[in-house]
Amino acid sequence: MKSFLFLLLGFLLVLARPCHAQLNGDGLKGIYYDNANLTNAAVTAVDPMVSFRWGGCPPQPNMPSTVFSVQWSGQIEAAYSEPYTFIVDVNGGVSLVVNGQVLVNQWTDLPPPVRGFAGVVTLTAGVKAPIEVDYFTSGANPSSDLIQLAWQSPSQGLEYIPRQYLFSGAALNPTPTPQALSACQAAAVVDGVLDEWAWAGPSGWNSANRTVVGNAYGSTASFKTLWDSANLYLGVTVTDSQLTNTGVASTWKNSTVELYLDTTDSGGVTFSGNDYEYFFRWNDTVAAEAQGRTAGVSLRTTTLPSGYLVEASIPWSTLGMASPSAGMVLGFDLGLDVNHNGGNCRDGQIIWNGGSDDYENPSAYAKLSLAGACPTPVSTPPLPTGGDPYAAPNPTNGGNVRIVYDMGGAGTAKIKVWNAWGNLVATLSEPKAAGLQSSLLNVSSFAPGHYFYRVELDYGSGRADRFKTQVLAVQK
Amino acid sequence: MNFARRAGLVPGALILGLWGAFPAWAQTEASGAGLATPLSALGASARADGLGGAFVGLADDPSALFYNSAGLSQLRAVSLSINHNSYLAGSFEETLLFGLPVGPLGGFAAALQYVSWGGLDDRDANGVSLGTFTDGDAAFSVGWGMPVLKGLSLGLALHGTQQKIVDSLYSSLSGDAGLLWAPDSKLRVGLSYSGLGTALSGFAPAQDLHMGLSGLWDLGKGSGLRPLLAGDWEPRGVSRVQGGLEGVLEGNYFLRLGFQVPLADNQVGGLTGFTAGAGFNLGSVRLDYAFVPYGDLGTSHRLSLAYEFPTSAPAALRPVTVNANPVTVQAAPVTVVVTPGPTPLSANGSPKSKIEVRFELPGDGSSAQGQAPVSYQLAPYEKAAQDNPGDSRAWRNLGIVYLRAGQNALGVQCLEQALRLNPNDPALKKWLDEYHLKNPSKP
Repeated sequence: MKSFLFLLLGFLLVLARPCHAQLNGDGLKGIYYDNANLTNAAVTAVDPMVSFRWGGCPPQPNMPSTVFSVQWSGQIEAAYSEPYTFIVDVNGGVSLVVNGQVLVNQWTDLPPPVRGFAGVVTLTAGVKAPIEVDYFTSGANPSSDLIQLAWQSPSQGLEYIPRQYLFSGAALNPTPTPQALSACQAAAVVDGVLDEWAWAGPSGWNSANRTVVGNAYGSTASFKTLWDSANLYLGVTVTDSQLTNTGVASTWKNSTVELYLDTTDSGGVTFSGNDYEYFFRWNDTVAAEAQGRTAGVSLRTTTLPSGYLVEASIPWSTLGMASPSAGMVLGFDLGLDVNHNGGNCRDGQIIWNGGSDDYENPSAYAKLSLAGACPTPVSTPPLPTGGDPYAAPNPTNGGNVRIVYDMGGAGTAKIKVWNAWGNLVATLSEPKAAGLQSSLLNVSSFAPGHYFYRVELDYGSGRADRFKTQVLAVQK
Repeated sequence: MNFARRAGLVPGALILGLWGAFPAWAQTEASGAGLATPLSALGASARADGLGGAFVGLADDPSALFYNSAGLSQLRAVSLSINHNSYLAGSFEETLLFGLPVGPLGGFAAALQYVSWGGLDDRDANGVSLGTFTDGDAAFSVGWGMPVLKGLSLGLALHGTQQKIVDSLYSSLSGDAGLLWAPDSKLRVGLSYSGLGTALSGFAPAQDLHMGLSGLWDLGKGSGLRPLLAGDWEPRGVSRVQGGLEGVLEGNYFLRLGFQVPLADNQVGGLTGFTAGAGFNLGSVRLDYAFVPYGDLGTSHRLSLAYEFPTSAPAALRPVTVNANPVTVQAAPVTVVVTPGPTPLSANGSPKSKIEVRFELPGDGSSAQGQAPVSYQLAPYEKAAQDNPGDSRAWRNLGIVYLRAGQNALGVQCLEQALRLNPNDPALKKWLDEYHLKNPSKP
């Protein structure tokens, strides 16, 4: 019964978010062991909170999923000088020591249901006290393994202890230098093809390739943002050799692009009401958000030979911004989740700006500026004598390349691209009207080298124009 | 049927069985945009391309450097070849390939490659023409194949590639490892793994597992058919099945057909999937051509011109003891003890006179065992070769006597020395070609 009450309290936590003095903690240092005995450390990390539901997944990539132990240590600073009650919901064995007092000592891996344990210690505002949480699981019930650490006091409601009160004392993940990017103003149609002119060209594209969790298997994400009065647009080209969509709710454990927004650019080390975390999973048509704020959000993905493409839009109204204007700045970061080993367990994560899996740390976000109108494209030069299509730019540094051709009538433009060995690497097939037309070929995932391409214009009824093989040079 | 059972069906079933375990069969669409493309994967041999590229299980010439470096252990003459590949969309490839046998250590090969992409259409992001630009890629390859057990060879190769794209240079280094098993003259099985190496600008090189086999159907008099079958498993790219058939006429004329079927639809359309080629020997010169259509993408024409160097200077002298009387001949470090026959061929028995004796070579490249009885004293012929090391006739006679004594390896080496000293001996060259066709392992 006691356990049930603690669980019930846990469900109410998100409803009680009191105002605190602003601290800048980074979390606790977590040492992960691949056995139940807290010996032979395998992975060390800074965890923003002690709040995990592993669900049968390894606590860290490349560790056994069923038997492990963790020691979180550091300091905790309270906002008030008064007795604090610490509560641990756990499935597994746990001990909790705060300021030298043993509050919980339950070093037995009891079977489900989840148990709750509590202890009281008096803390002093502004004074850091040592804290250590030890946990182990024998692997008997891996799908139920969890630990969640909360606190409350007479002046403070019950809540999972947020990172701002926890200090790891470790410099494992130095705060990254915020990068800056801008979104020019242009509309896009969310159809899974980045074919609007505003997506074209190398400018505005950013590349994320820094692995912060596990093994991302060389995956990369190249992304660009646009905006208009109605929406914020995101276009991403992902290089990932193995795509996974398990269809279950934990989208971040699959092949997924994550978008983090701090709409007021207020920073801070905790996730607040103006912070958003969107999940755009490969092969989904509906986006997810950490707190379900997906009204009007559009998502389309397209499978590419070397990965996938994401095109999405988020209404400003859903972001609580009624009238965006040029010059506004938002906190922005982008993550990429990778799952190569099957199951519903993430193997790795890439973050563009942040130094760790700090999606709940807006202070680690980059700065996204809303710029003016996107440059108007100049008129397309005519085709050379003979009417052969051309690629622009050639050579290209990545991003999109326009293939320009002249349609002799309404029909379908078919473009195929092969690598130097004659292996097909990309295809486009787009309906086009008569006249000078173009198609956008995304080469973000292409290795540097020379590629053959051919254009075929199919007008139906067996009528078609076919052109000679040409060479596109890709630099990086 | 016996041939088919030994050289075709059983190993073929083995290869296909191994391939069945690979998921590559399930490929439904192409991939590989994110793979670096080392030039070594383009190959450098009209002969191999004419055979559908299914060369991993044959690999008996210096181009084994690109297909299965273990095959370099089979080299038997110093050779230099120039290979031209008129490739797609105005590009072309030139390769200089050098092969060097090193006795019991097997053989080395080295190659320089250059690919020109021609004059490319230079455009800015708006499509404004800026003229043309020229790009070229260069590569250096070196490999070593060495026999390790009877019929089994291992090989290693290293490929350094530098790609130039306008003003950017991209360098990468990749390695191959190969294995070749030749239990007899009719069957060879090869295995090679390529693409072990450094990433190019963050893009990993394609990694391939090649496996294949070749057989030999001997039609006699230097003629025969050599079927080949191979598979190429490329986890991140396009896997393929390859096959070929080489017809040899009188040891000097060659016709080739091949196929290569990708396990993904490359959508090239038109004529593709098969290859053809031809070649001939003219003394020490060999010319090969291959026709490799890539459907609508175009056609690759390959031409290879190779020259085998005669060795004018005697090779390292090795002592051979025959009948307890030490003599020195150019041969591998072996010791042969032969009971002398009762009758010298020449009545006067003068060593000098032995030079004038011309024996008939055994028929169609066969060893001489089971032919004539051992009826010659070896010592006079050995002494003749010792006294006249630059006279091809002395080595020719000694080689034949060795063959008749059942010492095939020593005999062939003497005959090869005779051919080096006198390359203008078509009968001897033909005989040796036939012998090596039937006995691919280095004697």
